[in-house]
Amino acid sequence: MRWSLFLVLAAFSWVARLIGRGVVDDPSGSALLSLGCLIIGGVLVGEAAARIRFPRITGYLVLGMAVGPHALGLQTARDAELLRLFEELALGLIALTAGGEFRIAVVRRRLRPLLAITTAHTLGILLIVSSVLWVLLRTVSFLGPVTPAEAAAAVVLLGVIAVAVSPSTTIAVITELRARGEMVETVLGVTIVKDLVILLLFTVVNAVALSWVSGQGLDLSDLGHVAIDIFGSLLVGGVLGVVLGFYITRVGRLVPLTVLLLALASVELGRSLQMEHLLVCMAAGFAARNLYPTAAGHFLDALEQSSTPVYVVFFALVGAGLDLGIFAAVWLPAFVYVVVRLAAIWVATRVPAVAAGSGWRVIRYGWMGFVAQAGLSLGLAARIQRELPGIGDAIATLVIAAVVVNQLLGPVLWERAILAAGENRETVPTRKGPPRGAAR
Amino acid sequence: MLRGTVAFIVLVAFAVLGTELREAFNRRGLRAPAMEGILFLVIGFSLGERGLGLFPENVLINLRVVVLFGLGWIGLVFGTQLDFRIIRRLSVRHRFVGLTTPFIFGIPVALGGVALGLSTALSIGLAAVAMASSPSSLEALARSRRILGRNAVGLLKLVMAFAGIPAVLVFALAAAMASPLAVHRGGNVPAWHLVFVTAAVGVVVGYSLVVLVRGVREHIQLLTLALGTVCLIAGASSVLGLSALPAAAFAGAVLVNRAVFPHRMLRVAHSLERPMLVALLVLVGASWGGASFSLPVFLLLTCVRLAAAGAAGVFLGWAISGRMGARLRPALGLGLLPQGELALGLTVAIVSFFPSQQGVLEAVLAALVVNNLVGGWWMRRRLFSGLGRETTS
Repeated sequence: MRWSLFLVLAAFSWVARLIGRGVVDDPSGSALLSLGCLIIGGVLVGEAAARIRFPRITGYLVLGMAVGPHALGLQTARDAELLRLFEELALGLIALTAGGEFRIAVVRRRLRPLLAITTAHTLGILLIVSSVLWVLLRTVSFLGPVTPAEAAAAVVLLGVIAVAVSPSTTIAVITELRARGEMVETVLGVTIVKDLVILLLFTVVNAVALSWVSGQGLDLSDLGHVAIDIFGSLLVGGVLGVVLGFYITRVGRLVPLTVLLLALASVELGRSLQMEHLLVCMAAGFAARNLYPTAAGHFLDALEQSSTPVYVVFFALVGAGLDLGIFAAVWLPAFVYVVVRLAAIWVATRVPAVAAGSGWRVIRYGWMGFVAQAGLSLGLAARIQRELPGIGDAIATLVIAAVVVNQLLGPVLWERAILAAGENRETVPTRKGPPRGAAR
Repeated sequence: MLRGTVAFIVLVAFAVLGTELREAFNRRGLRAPAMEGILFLVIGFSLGERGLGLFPENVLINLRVVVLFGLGWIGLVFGTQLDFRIIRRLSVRHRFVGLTTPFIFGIPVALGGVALGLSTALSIGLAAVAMASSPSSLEALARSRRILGRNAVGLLKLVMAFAGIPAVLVFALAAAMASPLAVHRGGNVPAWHLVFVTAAVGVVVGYSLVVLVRGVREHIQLLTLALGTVCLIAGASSVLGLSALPAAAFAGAVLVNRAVFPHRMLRVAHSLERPMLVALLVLVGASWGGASFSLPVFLLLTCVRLAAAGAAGVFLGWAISGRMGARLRPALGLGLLPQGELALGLTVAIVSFFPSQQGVLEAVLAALVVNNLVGGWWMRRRLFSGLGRETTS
């Protein structure tokens, strides 16, 4: 019944557009219509996904892909542009949640595995993926005609992008399952630290790749800028977090609206000061949580209260931006890239986890939390495309195709990992019988 | 020059401030929605292009999404007040009086608008604003005078609560007449058909929400579905060239009368009402282009409304005033003078729907202020003093 209603609403919005087309030109109305379909459809698809034991965000992503400009076209590219504001707001709130979930006590407790896995991922995945792709590129020219220097640049850049993960996806699944435990804490910690490291790593590797392709000397001047950006982002975020914590502790009124305000302010400050806005938000959440422990409850409650609409809007819009057509065009190299990356993640998580004395949950299932990729990877691909006009297009196409797969696969694997490790507190609804984990 | 996100931040900041201000007023037993509304319009104007220049036109175009959504939300909140279970308890005569009295305000204003040379659609839109009264000022005053339980006060509250229904319907007609799809605007659909389309949009989406919220208990899930519904209504109305406010009001009415647990949806609807109204007012204030003050429209909405209040009092006194003294009966109409959230919402809708008629905005707003100040003062002086004396004697 609910599904047929959604179909009626989708048809209704399509008819409304059809009637108004050519007579009424209202892009804002069209964007709202798309948003309405995405929200209502997202809630239903999320419920359906949860029933078949898939993460809700996979449902949101699939819905976004289906109604997006690359498929049914219920949401147009112009709508997506107008809804960018909501996407940014959602991203800010997700990053605040990620920072808020990252406690100093946990960092201290899990310092060894955290450092070991982060180092192994940074170097191991880069090396494994680059080496395998290098060998592959020598036999199959999946990037088109390239010189050896360009081939070397391409494989190292693809190796760096393979290191990147999606913090928003990781935190969304954790929030959905209300997961707590050793594996969740370790994976979240590594994801956040990797988010910092990847920016530095990419800057270095990109400079090396550019010097290979252009044949000029290595220019690492950007590295200083990136380091300052990271430091500045953490500082600005920290100050905002202190302001938020102070407000919640002293005033404590209208906390959800204030958190929303802070998320927006963090995103905009980060952007206008040329900083990493995701890091600004994460640092703000981290500071508010750890410097004002009494405010932490209100802060996290406010974030959790807003989680459903935020995740629906964000992931549906992310899904709408994913183009299955690109994957179809380069499916074989993309498939190889995804498989090699999975294998590299497995090795680079399991080995350091054993060495650092992590529990069996991290050793066995931890790798599944590092599969998802989204905005950061796409952003890096766009930068490569801009800076390496020759092979940049081919690299970006391959990355976008791989992100489609990883973003669909990642949440599913991460949810399976949390359930298998028994670190979920939220029961998972099933079609028949009582929810899994519910008291009988 | 501010980017869209920063402008949105400013809006959210004022929404927080506005909600705080409302709570501060409530704690002191004060209710003055129109005055608060004017305050945020003035703030918006001072931030707009004519003031500090913080909301340039391109940003305002991007933030039109917020305006449409806000109007839809206000419409939904208004619609949720139309609980037929309560309305059915009233006698037919009371219902008739409640639904017809607002037209005593609306018809002269509409005719006056046409006489002034305004378009028919705009004149009808102004009539809708004139018809919308606010029971909140009356209630606050009656409570302070301890005459809240009097029949006359109950009667006025009833009329005011009903006044919104014809006001919203009349505005739906104005919006339909102004739609590019309407016959006289070059389209091929008669305006009255578009009124039905407005209702259909609201009813279809409202019923869908009723079904979607079945079995949903969590506030955030209900809020998410309500957000999606208002987006759909606002979007569908806009792409059809119609107004979101009346369409959402239909959806709200369906929701409150058909939902299994209407009180949950009421809580959801009211949770965003205040921030939305403040954001809308700031945006409208910011978009005001500083057009010249339209004195005729101001006089139309004040003098005609004041005169109509007398006529409405006579009508109410004749129809249902019971044992009230003959001298006091005409004063009943004064209770209908103060205006509140709905009138403000309709004003915002007029501004967003008739952007070329900017000069009308400040006249409508000035009239709202005068109606509240003069109406409140007059109501206290004649009606409440009279009622107080009757109680004493």
